[in-house]
Amino acid sequence: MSDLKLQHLEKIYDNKVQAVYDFDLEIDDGELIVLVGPSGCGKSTTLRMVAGLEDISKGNLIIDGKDVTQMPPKDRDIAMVFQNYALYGHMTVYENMAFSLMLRKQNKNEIHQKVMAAAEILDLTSQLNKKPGQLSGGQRQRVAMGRAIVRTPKVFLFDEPLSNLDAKLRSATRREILLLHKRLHATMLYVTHDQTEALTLADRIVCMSMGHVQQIGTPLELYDTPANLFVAGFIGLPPMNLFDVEIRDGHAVCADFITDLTPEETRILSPYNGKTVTMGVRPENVVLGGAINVDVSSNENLGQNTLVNGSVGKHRITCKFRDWCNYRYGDTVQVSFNKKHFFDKDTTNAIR
Amino acid sequence: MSDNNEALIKKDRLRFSKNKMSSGLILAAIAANALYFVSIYKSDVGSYYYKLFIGVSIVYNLIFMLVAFLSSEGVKNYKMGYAYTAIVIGLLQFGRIFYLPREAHETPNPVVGSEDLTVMQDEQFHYVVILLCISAVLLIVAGIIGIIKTSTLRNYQAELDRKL
Repeated sequence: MSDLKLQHLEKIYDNKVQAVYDFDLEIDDGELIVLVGPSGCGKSTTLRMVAGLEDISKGNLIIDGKDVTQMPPKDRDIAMVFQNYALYGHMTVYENMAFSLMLRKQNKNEIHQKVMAAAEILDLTSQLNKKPGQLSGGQRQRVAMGRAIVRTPKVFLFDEPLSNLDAKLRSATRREILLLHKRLHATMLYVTHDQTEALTLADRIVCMSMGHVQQIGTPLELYDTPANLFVAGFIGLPPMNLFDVEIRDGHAVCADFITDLTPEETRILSPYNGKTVTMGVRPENVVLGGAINVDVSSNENLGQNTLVNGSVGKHRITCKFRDWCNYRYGDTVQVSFNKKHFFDKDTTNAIR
Repeated sequence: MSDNNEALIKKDRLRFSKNKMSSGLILAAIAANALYFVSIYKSDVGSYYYKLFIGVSIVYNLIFMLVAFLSSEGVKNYKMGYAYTAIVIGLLQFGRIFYLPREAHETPNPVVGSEDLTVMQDEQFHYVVILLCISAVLLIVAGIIGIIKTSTLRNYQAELDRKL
């Protein structure tokens, strides 16, 4: 395995559309990096540039200390797992996994050992004589992963590998990918639009929007200290509640409520005194009890917690309470915020 | 990797790979047989035997190709019965040499003015005999390989089952 350096990568298509702007990232050996963002944000394009399936317009790509920017995909020693599995339907699982090694004319006994070892890791031993059509989606994706594993590449690339699976299978396969990463200690670059996958899998997350990197950090950093409004809104489910508030002498004031600021918040917001900023509150940071009245519009019991949607004046709000609640439409709930995030209204950057 | 280990891996590989060699040899035998009957039917030999005899020959060729193809698929999947079938039809290919080609080669040509020639002349006779021999050898070799591989796989499977 090896490290990976993406130095100021840019992708500009022939029609002058720029898909990726100045993507700069160093990935350590054995790290699992997740690129996350909405559709069209440039995450798959970045991955394809690493794979060599897209030309790099600007910047350099270094794998294991070697500049591979101009190198064809076959010489980069990377393996890619696709969303649609890309398995050969007429070949058995064993043949699919062995195929790339057979093309390289490796010794048949060695190929066999590698395939058996990969099948053991992925719990596919009993499926080796089956064809992809006889397997479930999760098993097919495991075969696709097995095909990557047998090559023992320097870097694994995953392009939304779980998108075709149902929710239950997605969760199980996600755990398998995580176990695989721990077991192989492989350098992995993983693309997804699903923030749950990003938060659960990543050592570090790269959050992207419109071709720009918005924030790079650990899952906790992105969740706890989002760099800007985009990250704050994208990471977290349900998304963060956002309110335009005026900072006024230790208080955040809007037409519908007033909330006290902590001394620390007052200090960091002192340059904004008298100005309007965007205040973000995660649904789980809305707690029962307080001076803010929420008019309930819906109550969703999720078992462990309850999602209450409602409004504070003209502001929509989502609250995530730990208790089992049975509010009805029209009820009023008193709440307060136990943690708040503030963003500059003009730059949308976090105020820290 | 020790020799013992290599042999074990080779056996284990049989569980996940098909017997493509035997299958390929049988398909080659079918091709050789096709060249054989094309040579017979396109020549005057075909017209000379324009009677029940040539009809039987055509039917036999069709049956041969069907059985050979089934054997090809069977041995590919390590079916012992098909391996024996391949050997039997291989032996029959040898037997055929003494029937149509030899008989035609030894029968005087009935065309007026060609009495000193035979229905099948030397060149064609040698050509079709070689094709039949190739076809027979390929079938027999495919059958033998099939038997060896199938019994190796069966024994190995039994060994694995015992261990389990």
